[in-house]
Amino acid sequence: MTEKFYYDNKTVRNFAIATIVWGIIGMTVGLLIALQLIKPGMNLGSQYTTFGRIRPLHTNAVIFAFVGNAIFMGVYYSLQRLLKARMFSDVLSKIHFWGWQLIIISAVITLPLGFTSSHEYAELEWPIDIAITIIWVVFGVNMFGTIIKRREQHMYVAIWFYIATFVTVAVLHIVNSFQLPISAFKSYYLYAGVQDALVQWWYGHNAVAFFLTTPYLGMMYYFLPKMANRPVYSYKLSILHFWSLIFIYIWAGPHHLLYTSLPSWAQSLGVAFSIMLIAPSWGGMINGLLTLRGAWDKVREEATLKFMVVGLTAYGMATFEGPMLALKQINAIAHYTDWIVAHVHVGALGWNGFLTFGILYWLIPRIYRTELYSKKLAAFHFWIGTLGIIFYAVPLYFAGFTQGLMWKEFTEEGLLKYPNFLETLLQIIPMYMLRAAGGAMYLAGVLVMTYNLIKTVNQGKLLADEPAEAPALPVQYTPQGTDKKLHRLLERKPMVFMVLSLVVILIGGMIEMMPTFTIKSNIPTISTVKPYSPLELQGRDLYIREGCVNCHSQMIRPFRSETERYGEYSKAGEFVYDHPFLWGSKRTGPDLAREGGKYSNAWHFNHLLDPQTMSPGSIMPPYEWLINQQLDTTTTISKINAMRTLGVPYDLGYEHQANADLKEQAEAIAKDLKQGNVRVQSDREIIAIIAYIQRLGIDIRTK
Amino acid sequence: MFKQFLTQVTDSQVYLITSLGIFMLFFLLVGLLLIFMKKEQIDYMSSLPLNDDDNGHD
Repeated sequence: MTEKFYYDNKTVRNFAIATIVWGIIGMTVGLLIALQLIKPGMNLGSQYTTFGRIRPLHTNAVIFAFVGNAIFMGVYYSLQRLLKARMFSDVLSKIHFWGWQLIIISAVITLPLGFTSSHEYAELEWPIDIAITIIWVVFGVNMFGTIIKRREQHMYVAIWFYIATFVTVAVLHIVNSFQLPISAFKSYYLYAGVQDALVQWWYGHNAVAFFLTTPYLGMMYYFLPKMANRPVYSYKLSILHFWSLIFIYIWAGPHHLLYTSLPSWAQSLGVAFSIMLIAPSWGGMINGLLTLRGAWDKVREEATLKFMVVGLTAYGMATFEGPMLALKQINAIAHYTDWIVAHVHVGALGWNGFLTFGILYWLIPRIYRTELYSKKLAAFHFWIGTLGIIFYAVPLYFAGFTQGLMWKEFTEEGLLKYPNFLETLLQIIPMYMLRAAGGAMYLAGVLVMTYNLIKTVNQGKLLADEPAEAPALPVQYTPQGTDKKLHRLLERKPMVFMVLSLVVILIGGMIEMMPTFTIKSNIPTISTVKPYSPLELQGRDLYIREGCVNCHSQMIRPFRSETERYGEYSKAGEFVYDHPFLWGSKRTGPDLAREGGKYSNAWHFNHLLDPQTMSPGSIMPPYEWLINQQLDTTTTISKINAMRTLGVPYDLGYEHQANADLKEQAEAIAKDLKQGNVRVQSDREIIAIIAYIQRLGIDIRTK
Repeated sequence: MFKQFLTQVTDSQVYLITSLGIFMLFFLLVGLLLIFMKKEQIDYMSSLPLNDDDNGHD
């Protein structure tokens, strides 16, 4: 019997608006931080707009706000139509939409305020983590509810990708959010050092896999056949690449930690699986591009298809480049440089951005029952966007390669050719200018799209509830001719499917992480490594608050070029009290792992107050508020207690002694500063951060 | 290439090879699943996105 029902287009529309609004905001912040790398003045002299705090705002905004809303837009549109059912619950759809926007707004507020966990792409503090968990579950219930009340017997492969996305992101988010709260917006990760790093990059890598890739592959498998009006090139290939992709991706995280203190067997596993990852990734790209076979004339006409083609090509390039960067020899040059920044932007601007634009141009006219306002403007957007990507990525490839090689260059006498880090940075500033221009072009394209879509919306009318009809799903399953029991199980039982994909992604994660957590010999302890003093601990938290880790690594790799420049290479045992680890992933400034004792306290004071006076040409922003602001010592007791709970060996009762020790150490530093003609009260934040910097690498100093 | 990586971790070769083995097994299983898929079913599945009512906008 045929049933009448209505597709919910309003929620799709809302997510579309959110995608565009947050996209513009996220990219504008991106442009601002790109300009800050050219002119420190662009930090606007405020702590709330300084690079270290708003770089996470940019990454979170484009990943979770722009791409996140685009995912929900695509899922809500395609899921209903593939299953021939309205979304499970209008109330849940509303909670999901507004809850997600509230989470984004809370990120926009807390990140500039300096509330950050310091884990990349997981910076939001614990109360927001809980909110994310709740809203993600709401999304899941809404999705599985829809699948269960569907009118189509089989689940199309796009839905497989959506289910894998849901279950894996849930696992990643929860495991990477094990934190011990010490106040409303401050917490410490349960893990320290190497273990914390492994968990973070298992998360970080798979956030790319299961937030930026699998949902977009699902959307590609729905929207591309719709746009080209022909089925996907090979459905078998889509199944093969689905299972191999989700199985392999989860192992590849350690390639973010090559040559670090991570046990080498884990690094090797990460490398091997990264290489294997080329196959399923290219399977997806080829399947997408070949879907257009015989329809390339349409690509010439339709801007939507142009966006899809360049998006898929960018996906292919990024997923070839990723495994190449995971080779140790290449990684040795590329890691910590702008090469990585270029790599992720080919993915973000090309794959995520262009697929989103293609879908928006296709979807908005449909739900507004009209035609696109201007095909010319869409074509203009396509070209300026493509040029923007090229102008963004190519200069950064040059920058990364140049700087990576300069760091490693020796003179004939065996000395570093560029011993001054700043020299290698100044060399690539022109590339940063071109990059900013590329970003501005890309953003201009988005603004043109926004105008085009507003005009489109104004000439049409939203069909909020789109009528549709389909026969109800028979209670008793009648097999269609030849289909096999196993396929039926996969395609008709969403819960079984979810559990299966969960098992598949857990295998890799467990094999990689268990030994690092359970086998003690993987992290050899060093007896001279002692816990931080209370002042240093407070200073470390200021270092985290200011986002210093965004530009300064604390991980010296075992290369002569690095041990010459920075000192002895980093050992796993040095980080056992580091909750969280602060290894960093990018060296816009020099590594700080052995910074302690290199310069005087007065040098650090003057450098933080005005970096350019101490290092002419430096692009580091000034941090004068550290001198004006008083250090909050009311948190010392709870911080010491929390650290002891996490296994840091502070004596019982030490928390009551801590602030006295803190004061003593602060006064000693203030006194030393006075001798260097610097007058500052001992209760200022800058004293704590100097104390922390001067502690770095001291514990295993051999001299 | 694999040999080069694996010789660098002499103490845990078994671990790494087991990992590869698990993947091969998994890959074979998925391969078998695909081999035994029937053409009609493939056609049916791949036409799913095109079957929904589009209200005549193509």
